[in-house]
Amino acid sequence: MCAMIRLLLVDDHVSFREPLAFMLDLEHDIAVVGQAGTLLEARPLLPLADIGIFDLDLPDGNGADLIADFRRVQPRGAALVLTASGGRLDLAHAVDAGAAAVLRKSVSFDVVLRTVRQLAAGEQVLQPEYRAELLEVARRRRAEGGDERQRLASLTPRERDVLRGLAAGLSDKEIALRLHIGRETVRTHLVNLMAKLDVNSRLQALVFALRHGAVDLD
Amino acid sequence: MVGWNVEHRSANYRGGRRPVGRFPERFIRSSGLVRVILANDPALARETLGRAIAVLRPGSEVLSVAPEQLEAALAEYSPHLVVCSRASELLERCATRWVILHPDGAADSVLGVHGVWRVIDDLPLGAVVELLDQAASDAGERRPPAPAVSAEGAARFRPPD
Repeated sequence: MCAMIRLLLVDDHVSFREPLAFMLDLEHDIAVVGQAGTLLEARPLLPLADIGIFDLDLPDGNGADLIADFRRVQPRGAALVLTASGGRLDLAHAVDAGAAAVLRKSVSFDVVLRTVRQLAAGEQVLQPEYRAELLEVARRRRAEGGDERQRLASLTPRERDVLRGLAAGLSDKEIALRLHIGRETVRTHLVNLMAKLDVNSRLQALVFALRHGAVDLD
Repeated sequence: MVGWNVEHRSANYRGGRRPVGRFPERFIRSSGLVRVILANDPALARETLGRAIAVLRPGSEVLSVAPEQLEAALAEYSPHLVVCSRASELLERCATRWVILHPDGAADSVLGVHGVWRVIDDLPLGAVVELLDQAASDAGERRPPAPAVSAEGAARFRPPD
């Protein structure tokens, strides 16, 4: 008889995480051993799982850091990235940190299920060419200096939200409406993020974020 | 003719094979027929929520559509509960209970019940079940009273001694 797959699910959106955990837990060969919405909540749960499903954009940091921790405490474990908005560089960092598979949240439940089982069986899921390509992106970025990544990593989740608003072509007012904050707060976030990225205009901030894969153009 | 593409209906969901798992057993019981539209993003969230509802409240009828098809679905389906990611003018007119999850990527969500709006953090599965039960209760209250049973009819249904 096959052993149960012990699964950890890390995603900050409860409305996404709980139904997914519930449905996975109903499978005869899967036990959801933990759920977490932040890096802080997830870290104590890492040793419990064989397979981890990780979102990358977490409120207290990047899921790639969690994947690296997971691989350290569970060298035989496998990490699956499940992301809605991760840019190419984010995916590259996740694979570089040890992610064995990457899926978009537009896939069907059956694809997630199949991937979890493939990973548990030790199968290679990422196409070798794609994996090599992502690792090359991560390597190149490292060679260019971790400085840019550090600058991007210093942004708060809210500042990243504002950057995404810029990438979507929104005005300050529209970003404020989208994030349920005041226009002045949007401007404060913009000033802070431009200082952190060491750029002089919002256009430069946007180009910087695009170049380093922190945001995608829709 | 149906004016929108139905991604899933509850009857098509394959229910789980283990009935309870690690979730509270109180979730697992049947309610009356409640119509639900799911039009939230991303697609995987919509699908898993629909599947979970089909397991937890098998009496519910779940219709899952792409967000851009919400208006057409609202107009034709008269749902009791809607879960979506974008506001719609028809939402309040067509449903008594609705949730807009993280509209345009916002951190918060909005819950509307009988025209009263409330900002909420998110929508746990237990809250969905609660909304379904409230909707079922409302639907039950609006049901016409049961017809009076005649003496002859009552005799027919009397349990055997």
